[in-house]
Amino acid sequence: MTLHRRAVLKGGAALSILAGSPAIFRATAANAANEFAPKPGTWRTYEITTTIEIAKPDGATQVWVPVPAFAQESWIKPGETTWTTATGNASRARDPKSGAEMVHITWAAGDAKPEAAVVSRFSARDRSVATQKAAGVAPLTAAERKLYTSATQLLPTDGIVLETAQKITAGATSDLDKAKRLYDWVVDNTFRNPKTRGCGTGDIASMLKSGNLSGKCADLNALYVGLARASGLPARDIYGIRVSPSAFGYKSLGANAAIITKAQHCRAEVFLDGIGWFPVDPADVRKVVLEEPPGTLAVDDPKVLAARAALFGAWETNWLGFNDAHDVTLPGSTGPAIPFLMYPQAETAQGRLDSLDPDAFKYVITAREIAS
Amino acid sequence: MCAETAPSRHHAALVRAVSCWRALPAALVVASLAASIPVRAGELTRWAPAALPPLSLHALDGTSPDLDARRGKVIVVHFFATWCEPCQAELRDLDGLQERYRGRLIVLAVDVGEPRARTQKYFEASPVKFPILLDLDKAAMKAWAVDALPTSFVLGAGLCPLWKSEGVADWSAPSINTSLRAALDFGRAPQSDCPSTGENP
Repeated sequence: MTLHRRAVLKGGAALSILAGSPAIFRATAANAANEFAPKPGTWRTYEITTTIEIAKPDGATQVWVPVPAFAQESWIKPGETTWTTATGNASRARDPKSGAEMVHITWAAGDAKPEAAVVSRFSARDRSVATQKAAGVAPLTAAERKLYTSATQLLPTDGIVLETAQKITAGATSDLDKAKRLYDWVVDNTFRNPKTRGCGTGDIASMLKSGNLSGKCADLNALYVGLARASGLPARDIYGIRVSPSAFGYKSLGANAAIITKAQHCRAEVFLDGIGWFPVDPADVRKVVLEEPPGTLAVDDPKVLAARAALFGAWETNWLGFNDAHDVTLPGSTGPAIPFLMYPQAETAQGRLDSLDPDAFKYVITAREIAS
Repeated sequence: MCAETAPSRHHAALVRAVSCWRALPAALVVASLAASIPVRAGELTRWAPAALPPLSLHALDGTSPDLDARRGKVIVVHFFATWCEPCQAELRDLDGLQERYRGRLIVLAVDVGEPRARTQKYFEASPVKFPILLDLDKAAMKAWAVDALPTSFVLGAGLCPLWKSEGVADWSAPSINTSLRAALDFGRAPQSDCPSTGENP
């Protein structure tokens, strides 16, 4: 494994600038590109509808549709979930171990037309978390700290992950310093790969061992979470989906149509004592670099700089976070646990369907903003 | 001189080992080769598990290939996933490798942690001639102690653990092919099974 020393040093240099006046840096960069500076404002409410129509039923059929279950008083509130199915048997379900919530629908063998629709609502507002410690921020419980620093199937915290994390954070003077070094390292050393299917897999040990640090959000932000956990910082992925365009004019950072079937996106949070859960999204920085028109922007393009500055500590919440669950067991499934629940899942007598192939599956997801 | 080329300084020991391998007992050659290959990403390194891990999986075509039925051939057990971009080119290379040593070397590819439907679609578009085993729950990956993809293992003709490659291996590299030919020739020797030198393999 080659640690990109220049990039690490570069990240360290950037950190020293930011450490002095992060708010000023953010504002300066943001001014350069459409004021990309999310901050808490108006709550917005959305409705998302997942329509399932199993294309090739074979034997008994089961479907699991993720529903909004992630709640944080300051920025996201899950709402009601309802469903309709003519011939299926549907119920709300929860994987007790991972905490993932879903609607579970079953159809008997011989059902020629397994169809259902799941409708969920949620409310959210933009986030911006100050880097200064404040009184009254509740610490994590011992159980929470253990959960959010633990390894998962795809996020080992030993071996090459630990070794890489130690190199990146060597000499860090605080947890915030560690979190920022890791953010800069991921931004500087990874890239978004448009060929990656779905949001990627998140097999971070393979990424580091192979040196192929490309992928999408489930790879790049998972790398951040794994490296943070290996550094002793509680961190979590939040798996979700974009629901509306970016209000800041970033085409690459929004769902730009009512159909959001392929708009899944996962983000990362790191917990900093005295600050609380701190939002980051290095994968979206790489998305801006690759996809923001006219495309393949330079890393010092004002739009990239603005996104990079903002996405360490702030999120535009035109996005629904379903859950922060890893290694999810689907109730009633005969197949293996899945690394995360962000896409609808289904099983027939042929086994698990490909959740990354909505046209063959088949499912469609739509979103609309509704009056709060 | 029977060595092919010396691609790098790292292969010096290997070249020394293979340069006169025809003059040595086959078992000794294989053992020497296994021990002398340097540790380097994407290259063959010695692999000496306490016991051969099990490999009991269903294949994409509905069969259940097992290692024992393939005794007598050199076997490359290759762990991959279709999402792994570097793996995709290596699958094509492995197809070429099996063709190059047709009838004497076979590849068993193990797709890790992916649903059958996805694997099926991938190989419909990019067919290969070797079986694709489905490690749906990653049990085989754990049993073989694979912690990154791609990873390959080479078994000698007697199902003897020989070498491992973590990362993409260059299966057309002279150094690797010299090693494979040594293993193939050992397998051809009368009464051969595993090397009987007491060394591993």
